[in-house]
Amino acid sequence: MKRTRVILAALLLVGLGGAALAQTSAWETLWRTETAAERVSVAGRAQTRALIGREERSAIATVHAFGGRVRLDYEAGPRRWSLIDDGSNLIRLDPARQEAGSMPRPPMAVDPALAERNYVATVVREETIAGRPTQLIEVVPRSGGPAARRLWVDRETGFALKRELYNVDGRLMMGTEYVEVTFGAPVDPQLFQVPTGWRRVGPVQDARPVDLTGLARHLGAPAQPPRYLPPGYILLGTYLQRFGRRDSLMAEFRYTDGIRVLSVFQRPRGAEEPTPPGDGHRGGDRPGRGRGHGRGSEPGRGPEAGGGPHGSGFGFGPPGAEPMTLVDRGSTKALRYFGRERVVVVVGDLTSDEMVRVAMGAE
Amino acid sequence: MKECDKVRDQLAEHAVGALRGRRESRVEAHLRACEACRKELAALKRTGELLHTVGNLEAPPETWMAIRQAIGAGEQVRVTPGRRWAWVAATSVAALLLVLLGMFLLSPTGPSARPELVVAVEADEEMEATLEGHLSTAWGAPLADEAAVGLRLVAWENDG
Repeated sequence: MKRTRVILAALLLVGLGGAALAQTSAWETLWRTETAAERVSVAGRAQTRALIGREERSAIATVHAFGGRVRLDYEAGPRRWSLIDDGSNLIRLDPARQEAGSMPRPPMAVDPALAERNYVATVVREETIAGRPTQLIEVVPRSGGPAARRLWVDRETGFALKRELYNVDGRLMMGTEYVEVTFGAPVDPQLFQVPTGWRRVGPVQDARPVDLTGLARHLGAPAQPPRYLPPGYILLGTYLQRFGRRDSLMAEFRYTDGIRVLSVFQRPRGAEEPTPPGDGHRGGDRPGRGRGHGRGSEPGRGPEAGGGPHGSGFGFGPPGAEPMTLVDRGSTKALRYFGRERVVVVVGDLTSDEMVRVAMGAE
Repeated sequence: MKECDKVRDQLAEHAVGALRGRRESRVEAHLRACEACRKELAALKRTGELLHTVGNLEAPPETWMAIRQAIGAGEQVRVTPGRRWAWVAATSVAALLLVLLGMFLLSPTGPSARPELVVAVEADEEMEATLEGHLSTAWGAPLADEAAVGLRLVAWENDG
């Protein structure tokens, strides 16, 4: 009897150890994908798609990567454009204008243990992608819900040949699949540089790490971190964001759960007057801002408020009674809340209720 | 006891339709003649309507304790079958009022502090800028799809 118990205990330990080992192995494989393009040169073509607004956009991307640098040349019908990650900047190349707009590559030093605390990674099966054997690994929140990520990882190089990213509702928000790929071929270093003679514009966007004291100094009022955060999220950093045609300033509290990123922007009320609707902006020396319409309105603030592209819900009213605005881009939601002291915009992949809680907690 | 006091004792039952027969007729006759009691009744009804808009809420445990104690103390009182419904109605109204009071005490600006949520089809410039600012963080996020993020970044620029 005693011997049977010992055997059962041993089997249990082996089983538990095996499960833990499988977890470690799945995560290790996933983290190796992050540095695969530093170890081996990559040249290939991929079909890529992303949910933008209510539409899904797709393009063929020609990919070159080596030494941590990446170049993507997109083709969508007759349109062509490129993106370079040179390790410190993201550079958008516009061949039609021969312009290069750059912004600092966002720093994103996330502790892998955080993702492993909040998510479970499992090897689901083996599949062939672009003629190469891969392992399909699925990443699912420990709190339940649909898969957040699915990656098909090349068995030999550890490079992800196919990726699918899902939002909290389980909707596919973006994905890329290689249709052909070559590893180890020489890559021309010139590919990662702005072509000679092209005009440099930008920065498109400027986010600088600034502490709370600095934020208060720049904004003229203290920034308030949200009192509520969804479970598992931790602070990545605080930033001063400069954007808009008036170079408006906003504080950003950036959080992550190890996989998803949540931004909480805020500015003091009255820090900026609303722009009349339809007065959009794009182009010029700071490309990529407008979408052909203005910033709508900040309700209850004066006669210029009201209207805008929203369709409904904006009117005149006492502070605190203004409606919250929710924009759902499929992959990301943005929710704006007008508090008494500050305007808060929460951007991330959360349920609407969670976004409201975060936004109102920053007042 | 003045007539108004007698009627007001029964207003809560009247508000929830728990009065019957002569008692109901007497209260209605008084209400026709007394503006102050009509106002009292209107206030009670408004409270009821407000509770409807609030929806179902979990009362704090101490509220239920207080109600139980109140009911326990009332066991000494002889309750005639005809007045049992009146007690139930009055206790229910008291409990609801306690919940409402609790909400006012717990919330800095009362139960209507959460503003209306409007779902916008398009973002204005400020929300667009924050969406774009957030998007750039997706490039370096763990297990990101950089090709697809790049597509979104360049599409942003090229859409106009």
